[in-house]
Amino acid sequence: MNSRDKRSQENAAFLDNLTSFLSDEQRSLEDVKESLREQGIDPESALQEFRDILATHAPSWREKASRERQKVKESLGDEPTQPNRSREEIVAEIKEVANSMGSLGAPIVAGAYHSRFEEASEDDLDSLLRDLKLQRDLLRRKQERGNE
Amino acid sequence: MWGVMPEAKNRATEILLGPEGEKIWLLLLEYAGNLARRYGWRAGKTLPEGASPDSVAKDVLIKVIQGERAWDPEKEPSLLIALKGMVRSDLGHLFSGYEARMIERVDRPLSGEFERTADSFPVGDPNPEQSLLQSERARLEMTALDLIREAVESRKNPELEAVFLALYYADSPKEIADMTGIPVERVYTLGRELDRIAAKISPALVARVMRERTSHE
Repeated sequence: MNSRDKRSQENAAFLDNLTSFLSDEQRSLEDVKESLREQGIDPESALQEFRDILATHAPSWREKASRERQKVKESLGDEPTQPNRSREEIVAEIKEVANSMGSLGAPIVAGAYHSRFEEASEDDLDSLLRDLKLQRDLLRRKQERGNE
Repeated sequence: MWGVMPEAKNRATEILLGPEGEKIWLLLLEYAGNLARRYGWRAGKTLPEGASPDSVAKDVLIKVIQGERAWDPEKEPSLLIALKGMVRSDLGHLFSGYEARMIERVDRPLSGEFERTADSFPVGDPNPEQSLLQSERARLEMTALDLIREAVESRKNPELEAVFLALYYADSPKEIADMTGIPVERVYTLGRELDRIAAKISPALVARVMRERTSHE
């Protein structure tokens, strides 16, 4: 190897070392953020993008559940509340839905709500009924998928 | 299609969702930027149109989460190092496109109208394409290094110069601290200064300065 080639190799090795040194993993988060700003990247936007990527491609169970519920809601349409239903009718339907969820293998804690039925407003009961119906539909879909 | 390892995929996702996830992502983004600049110094160009260091990092991240690219924790226990390797591979492919275009045709006549024949290339020497590419790379890299050195010297800071020189032999802050006798925390601080210097030396600047210097030779 001639001296020119040797020098070229040393130059390349220097630039590799510099790149590695500037990417050291032991630095503080603040140093890394500052370095990104030097590159013209806003670290906060980059972090938001990371969270969005995770939410889309690696959703947590909570995000998955929320998305499923939204899908079911959309597929069912915005079911209007049946007008002029008595409080007793709504409570009866809640119990019926809770029972059907039990038979789907999800012995729902709906019983826990029973004691509060008396305190709940009609709007609250209506909302609870809608929520339980959504959960029941989710369960049914899950079972159907399992049977396929 | 890359091999799918469901357990590793889940483990990778678990780590990314955990407390270290955000730092891993920022370090990966930073690495992609630093490496793209490093390859750019060699090619005299930034990434091809439509690609950016962060788009490469994002693509790697999504593919690992989805299991399209495999991380084997037994071979490489650090997820970050594995992700860096994937980014390095993808950036390398993107830049190799430039190098292919820089290659000269073997049958191109030499100046003076002589044609190249097999006898023009002594056995064992690099072929003309390789020679041209190596010479172009070497000149660009030397120019990048000269620009960095000039900027370091202009700071008139002996500690910064010591760290700069140590980079010929080492790349870890700890090793550089040992070599120079500068405390490692200070080496990190000086690293920030070097980072600011390097950020200003774009591949386009390196290519322009190299052309100017070549024309004056």
